Amino acid sequence: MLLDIFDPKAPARAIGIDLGTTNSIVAVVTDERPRALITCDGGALLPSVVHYGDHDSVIVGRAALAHLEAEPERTIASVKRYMGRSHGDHSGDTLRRARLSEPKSPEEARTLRFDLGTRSVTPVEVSAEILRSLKQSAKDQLTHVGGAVITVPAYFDDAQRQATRDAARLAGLDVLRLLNEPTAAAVAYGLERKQSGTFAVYDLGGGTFDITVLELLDGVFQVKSTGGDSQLGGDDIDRLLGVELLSAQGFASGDEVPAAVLSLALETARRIKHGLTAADEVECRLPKRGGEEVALTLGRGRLAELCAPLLERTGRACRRALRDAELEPKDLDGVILVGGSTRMPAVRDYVETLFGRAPLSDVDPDLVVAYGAALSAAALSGQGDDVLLLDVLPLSLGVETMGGGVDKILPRNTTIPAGARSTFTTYADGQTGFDLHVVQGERELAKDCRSLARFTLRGIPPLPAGLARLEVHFDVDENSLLTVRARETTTGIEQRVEVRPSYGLSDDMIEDMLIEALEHGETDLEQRRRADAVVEANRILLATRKSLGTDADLLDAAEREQVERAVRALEQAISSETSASLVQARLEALDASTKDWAGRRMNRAIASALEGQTLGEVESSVEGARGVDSHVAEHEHARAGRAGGERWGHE
Amino acid sequence: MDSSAGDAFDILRLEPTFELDGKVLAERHRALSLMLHPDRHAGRPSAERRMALERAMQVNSAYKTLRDPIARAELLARRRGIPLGDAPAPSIEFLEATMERREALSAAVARADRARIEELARGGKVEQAEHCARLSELLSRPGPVSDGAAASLAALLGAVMSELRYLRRFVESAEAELEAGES
Repeated sequence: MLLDIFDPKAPARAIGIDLGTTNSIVAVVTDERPRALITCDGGALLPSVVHYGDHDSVIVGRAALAHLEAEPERTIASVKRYMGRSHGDHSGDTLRRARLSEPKSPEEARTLRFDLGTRSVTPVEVSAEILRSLKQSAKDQLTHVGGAVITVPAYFDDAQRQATRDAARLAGLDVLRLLNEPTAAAVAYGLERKQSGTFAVYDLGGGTFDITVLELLDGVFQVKSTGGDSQLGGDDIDRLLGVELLSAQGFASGDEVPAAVLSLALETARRIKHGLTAADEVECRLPKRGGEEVALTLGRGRLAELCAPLLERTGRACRRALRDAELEPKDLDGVILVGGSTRMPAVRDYVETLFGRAPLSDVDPDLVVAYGAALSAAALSGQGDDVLLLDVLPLSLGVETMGGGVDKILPRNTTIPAGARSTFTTYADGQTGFDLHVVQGERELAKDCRSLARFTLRGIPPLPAGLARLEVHFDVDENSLLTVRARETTTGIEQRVEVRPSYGLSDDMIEDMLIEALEHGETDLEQRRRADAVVEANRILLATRKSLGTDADLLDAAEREQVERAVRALEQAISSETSASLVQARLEALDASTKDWAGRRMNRAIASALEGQTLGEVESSVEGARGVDSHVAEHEHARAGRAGGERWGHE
Repeated sequence: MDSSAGDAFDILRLEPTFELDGKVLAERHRALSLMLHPDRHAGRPSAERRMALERAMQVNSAYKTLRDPIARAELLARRRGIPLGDAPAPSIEFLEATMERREALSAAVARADRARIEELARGGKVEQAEHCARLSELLSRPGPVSDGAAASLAALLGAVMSELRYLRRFVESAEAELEAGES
């Protein structure tokens, strides 16, 4: 391993990042095993804390944590709780250390901003600082950093996922995949033990709770159901304990608490909580309101009492997830614990009672998610075990109806990627615009769900009410990210709109932040774009050459000539001083020339896998390959005939 | 979604029958996902990735369709040219039984009688299974030879499917009550 540290031509290594509420970790797979890389703090765990000092200096990690008590307004902790959230989501939150900027417009209120005094920052920018630090640590140890898999709570909605992806983009990371944390943990366990079965992953982190039920069979991880609460975690336990401390200090609920006092109480609460993992009792002394000191003794029993309502909330989510998976606790082969909060004896006892079995925790619950992310990053970049993760949509997607209700388009726990189509019609004569409000969540009223996007379809031909037909497609990709496409079909004129839901920061705003973050702004950005395009071009060239080696028989002479011409053009573009946009254009040309071929290769691969034949046995002329579908149909027909089954005619 | 890919049976390359072994179906879904999931095409040209994404979506949606007995029956009827049309109302006897079941559920909820709610949910499931068996029987009859035969088969199928929808909603409400009772 030492060798590739000094090798400037070391291959780019894919990394896995656990961007946690309390701590963040970057891991990589070496010699088929995941390991955490050393962060700028000298250990595996980088506290997810960012301090904004004078003259725009930024400190991340333990050094930033040191500023939390003294300068709570300029030090952002637990930023993950604020990702993709609006100002209104958190403005009523009184036990919050950071100050929020007052939004100047409703548009601005869609994403909350922290007020640093001299300026304001969005949660996306704060998270990007943490990611940037982790990327730098990875670069120092691996020389070349490839793509990254970044984990998110399974219960994150679309806005929270978009925000996380934007933070990664801002940090200059190539995101291979957003991976759900429980799935990542299951990958780490599953690959370690080479065990098949059905598992529940109970993930209680600093700020989020997830429960996932999944089945592992021959390297395929199929999520059956998922549930949780993206606003429930160890932080909440700190708060409950903090309130207890504040009242002992002489503050009644509703009293204005100075930021420094609040900060000290929360920090003490956290220490007490950690102390009670090993000890039965912990003592502490705190300044009393007015000057004196107060001494307190807290026991495990009291902590368990405080936690009970929170744990009961996790229990409800677990029971629902089991029901959604159509399973009973006894059907499980194991319960995996993830997240620092699962170190608490009260949590372990609760999980054991809930599932009727002792949970597994032999992989460090702080590192297991990062390990899984690294393993899946390796798999996605062709450097690791062959695994496939089939995940589900965590929260239902729907459209607001006339009465303010929700028409569910894709229910929660739908296997992703998933697509659905819904048809709407106009409700007034001559109506030429149609408003669509896309929401996510399980509540019956649209106003109680998360609002993802509002948009208006224009240019509908004026027709009597109910005659225009609007076809809306909802596509959810493998990252659980939604794209909405709409078109008007009555008159045959297609009016297409494509909308990516936004949580308040547009692509242009992210672009501006990106330029701002780079020293020489636009020039650097062009260089970075070109570098990214070249990396992508090399990857595609490699893939195309590989396909030419194995599947050239699926191309006719003219097609083959076209592909080869596009390959040469792209090679020429990356070997000379050309612009990023030229590389991009040639890349797209190559892409277009290989599209039909890709479809044929896919059909051949499927036919071969389903018929249990080797590639060589499949018809391998272009004509034959084009007819793979009919070949399969014929085969199935023959098989049906043999089995004596009845077939009804269809096209 | 692209309709040229055919229906759920075509997409999963399975024989179109009502009786489907859940294990075979799950196995086919896994096999096709291994070929088509976008993660299997990471690092490939974007046209290929888009195609894989679209086809993986079709496979997932076909899997969902075939796991649902009502959707499966509708699909088979369509393939056999049986015009289902609007769902007919269930028989008076069935509606009366449904009302009785609903009343029994409300009474059990009012008494917070979990055992009784569970019993009612189980009863609903048993009836669902009986209705599925009936669908299977109707759909395994020889193909209708005349328009009249097709229409009468459609009426029979439609009635069973309507009742199945009622039963499904009943079981769902009983389970929702059980869930609400836990908190």
